[in-house]
Amino acid sequence: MATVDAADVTAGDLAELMVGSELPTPDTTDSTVTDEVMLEVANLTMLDEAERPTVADVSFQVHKGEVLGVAGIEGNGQSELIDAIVGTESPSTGSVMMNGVDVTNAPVRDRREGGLGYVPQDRHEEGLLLDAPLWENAALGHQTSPPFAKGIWIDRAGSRKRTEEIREEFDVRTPNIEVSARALSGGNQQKLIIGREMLANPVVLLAAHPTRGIDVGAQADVWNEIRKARSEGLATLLFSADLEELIGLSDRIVVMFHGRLVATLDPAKIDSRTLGSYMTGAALQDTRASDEVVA
Amino acid sequence: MNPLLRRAGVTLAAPAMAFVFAVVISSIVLEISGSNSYETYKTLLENGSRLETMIDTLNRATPLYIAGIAAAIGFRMNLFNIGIEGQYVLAAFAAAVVGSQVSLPGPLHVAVIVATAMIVGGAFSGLAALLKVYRGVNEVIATIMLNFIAIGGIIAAIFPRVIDRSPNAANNAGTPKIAESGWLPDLNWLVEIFTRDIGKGRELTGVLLIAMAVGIGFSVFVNRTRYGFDLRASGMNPIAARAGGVPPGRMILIAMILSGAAAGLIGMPEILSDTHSYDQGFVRGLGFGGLAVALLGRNSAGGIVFAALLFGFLDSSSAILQVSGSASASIVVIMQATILLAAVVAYEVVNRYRQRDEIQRASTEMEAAP
Amino acid sequence: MKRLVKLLGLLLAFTLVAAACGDSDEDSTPADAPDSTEATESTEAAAPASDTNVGLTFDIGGRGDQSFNDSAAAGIDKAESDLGVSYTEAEPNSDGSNRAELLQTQADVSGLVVAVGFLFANDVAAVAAENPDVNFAVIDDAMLDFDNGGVPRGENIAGLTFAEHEGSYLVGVAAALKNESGTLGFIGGVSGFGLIEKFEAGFAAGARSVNADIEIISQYITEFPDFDGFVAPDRAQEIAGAMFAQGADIIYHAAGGSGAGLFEAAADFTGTSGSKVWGIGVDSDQYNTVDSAVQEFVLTSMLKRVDVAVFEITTAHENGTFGPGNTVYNLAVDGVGYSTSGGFIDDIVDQLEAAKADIISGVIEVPTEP
Repeated sequence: MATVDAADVTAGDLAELMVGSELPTPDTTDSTVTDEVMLEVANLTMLDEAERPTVADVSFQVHKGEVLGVAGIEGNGQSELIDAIVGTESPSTGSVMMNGVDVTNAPVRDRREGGLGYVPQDRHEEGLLLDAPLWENAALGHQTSPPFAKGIWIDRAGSRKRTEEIREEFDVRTPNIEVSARALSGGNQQKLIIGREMLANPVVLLAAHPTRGIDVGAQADVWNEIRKARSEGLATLLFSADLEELIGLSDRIVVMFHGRLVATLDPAKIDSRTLGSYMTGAALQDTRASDEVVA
Repeated sequence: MNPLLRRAGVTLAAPAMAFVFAVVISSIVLEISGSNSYETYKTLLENGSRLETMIDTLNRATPLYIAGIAAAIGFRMNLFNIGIEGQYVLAAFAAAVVGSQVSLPGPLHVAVIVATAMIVGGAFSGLAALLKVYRGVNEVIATIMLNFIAIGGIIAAIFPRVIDRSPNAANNAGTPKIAESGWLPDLNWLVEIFTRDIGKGRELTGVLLIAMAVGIGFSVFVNRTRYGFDLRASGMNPIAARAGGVPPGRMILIAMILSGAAAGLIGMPEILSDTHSYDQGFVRGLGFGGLAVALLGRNSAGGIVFAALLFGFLDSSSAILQVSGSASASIVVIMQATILLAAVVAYEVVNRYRQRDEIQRASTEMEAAP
Repeated sequence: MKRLVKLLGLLLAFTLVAAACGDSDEDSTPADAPDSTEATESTEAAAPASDTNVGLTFDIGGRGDQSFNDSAAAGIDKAESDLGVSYTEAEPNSDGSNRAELLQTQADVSGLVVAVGFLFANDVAAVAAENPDVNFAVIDDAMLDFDNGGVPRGENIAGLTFAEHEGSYLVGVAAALKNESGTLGFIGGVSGFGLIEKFEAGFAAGARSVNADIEIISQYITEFPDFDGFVAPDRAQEIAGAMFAQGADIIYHAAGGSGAGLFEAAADFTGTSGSKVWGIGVDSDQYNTVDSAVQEFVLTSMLKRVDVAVFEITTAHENGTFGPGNTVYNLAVDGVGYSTSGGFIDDIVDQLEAAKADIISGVIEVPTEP
């Protein structure tokens, strides 16, 4: 056990002590970004019920081996953008290309089967069947593909085996895989979701607030998994309200403000404060500031 | 404790609690209404141990079971198909009309009748599903409305045209009797292999086999197929299911059509085994009975077997309770209501306990882990 | 889960209401077998002793319906006190699913089983075949096998029907004699299954025998198979109001429970227009069953003596003269008739009795179809 003086310790030191390893930092890791575009959103506009744009003319690309961070204060169109990419809502104009295929109007299932991994922002609402056993939760989103399915049948043995793998590799702490998802702590629930998405070998990962509301240890695990997958060529679109996380994990960061992408930043050249000023729109008036950091 | 044993104990706790509670309440009601509760239970059990009563119970449980499954298909997806009533009455009517018009060799004749019932039932509930998917009409409202349309509208309009006008039809007018090739043989021979001859003209309906097939089909579909997984996922968490690739509109259609197709079979004991026509004595109300049985049976194929047999037994005890002077006919309804209430409360209590227990064990696991 | 709780509340409310209804029926008529045995014993001194039990099997509703079932109950009460028989009562489940079981259970303990209502016809035929030592009687169905030339459907089955057209003829005569406007009205409960048309035919023939030019406005509330026409007093009231407005001053109804609306309409119309109009009741003496406020609008009632039929068939059984086949309760045996309660038709009784005598002697033949 380490004893530290409260006056001398920073939040980062404390976290490191708790986790027992080094936290991801803005110090850049070797870039694994390639030229291959895995996800391309072009001129995407989404309208709300009153026909007001929630996402306005948004375009970006995510490359193989790249983590693209999306920064923004909540309510600036991020959820709607996620809906359009996952496929739960259709855009009014614009397109979404995944792995070279136009999926703008494709059903969710086609996208998931085409290699879209999804870590939803609210795991209870969007990510889990709280009353179902863990092994069924491990299948959710992938229930049409092996090892969860064989033809039209559910492969129970395959699902359980995969769930044990997730439990092992992602350190999901549970008495067994038959308990309901409700029984797990938030961090373990999140590790289950990350594990299920990662082991399905996605080509594009859409991760929304992947570490929200989980303990520091689980947080580091999740970060490590995202970095590992990135080095193996995964294209990741990362939404987060945790600016350290965004800066630490992303290869590029785009800022969403009032439904538009207002800036593209190099995480190596900014800190949380600068990023924050972009998010509130304050930095947009100050063009000199943005010139320095734009990627 | 062994997790399997523990789970079995928790699962059995709810029915056991419900049973005790129901017996206590029913006894109080019996004593207040001037009956001797001990004598009543004795009559119930004595009568229930007779072979003929068991046949009655099975005959009553058969349509109730099918109705329970039809309701459970909807419930599993959080759809409240209150239209089972209209679906099965309309389906039975259509099956009786079609069955009386065609003349085919035995098995084929029965198959045509069964297929007609399933198609009509499925199509009619499919209407409610279409209204929900494309017009956002709540399925409860749509199916209640369709119940009226089925019974007060469609049947009322067509029935007078197809009534059997032969002199034998007497006052209880109905559709012409289906030819014997369209009757389903009874299962008395099967029972009599194991025991004595069944007396008093009781015939165990052959539809029992259809009900078993429906139950097994339901269980396999819901628990073992991808579509069943999608259905359950939508029922447990529609938003997560949708994000997980389950197409919500299509699942509503599939669930409602399957529920309606199963509902179509509810009237088959009367059409295939009993009256062989749709007449004024046609038994209505099984659709609502099915909702109760599905609730009691926790929407599982096995649980509904138990619930349908219990309700079937109580229903078929009504006669002996009245004639022996033990109790009035309404005690049966009171017992069924009490059991249902007690069971749902008990399930809820046990469910809470199980959740707490699981969470506790999961967190113990965490602390124990390195 | 919320939805489940809501559903449960609904079901519970439903069953409690059903149970409460059953209870109130029961309160009005405690009919335990031990009680009836005691009653038999206590009346033994006054009445001849008999070890016969009569299984009186009501249709849905049982005792306390102020009509059909109550009339049958009055008949069995009379048989109990006059003949010394005992009886057991039973009524079907609310969905009518256990008619055959009721009959069988009654047959197990009875020498004579009386089934009240034509919906029992097919079940009686089946159960009677299994119980050759028990006699069966069905109210309102001829129980004849017309496919084979109208022979009885069983050697132990009697069908007790009523010459409703003859009774209707007499009230038609009464209406025409009391008529001032030149117009009469007829409200039928449910058209299309042949029974209610008999009432209309007799009524019209009787009225025209007095005044060949009299106008009769006729309307049915619903069409078969929608039986709501028998339980829709509000719609009967509406129709009656319109008929009164068209100039009818006396309206005869054959619409069961809907009839109450007719007398309400008569009171309303009389109150607003100032000219007195009347209604004519049916089945039982409605002067005694309607609200006292509208009693003065019940000109007379066409009586259908179910009590006579029940008493007569029990007597026949006791005397060993039970005969299979159809017995028609007509004017000759006072199986139908008219009531004079209120004294509104005392002045024309002579003419009515003359018409009655002509019908009995065959001088007048009353049509059964309008």
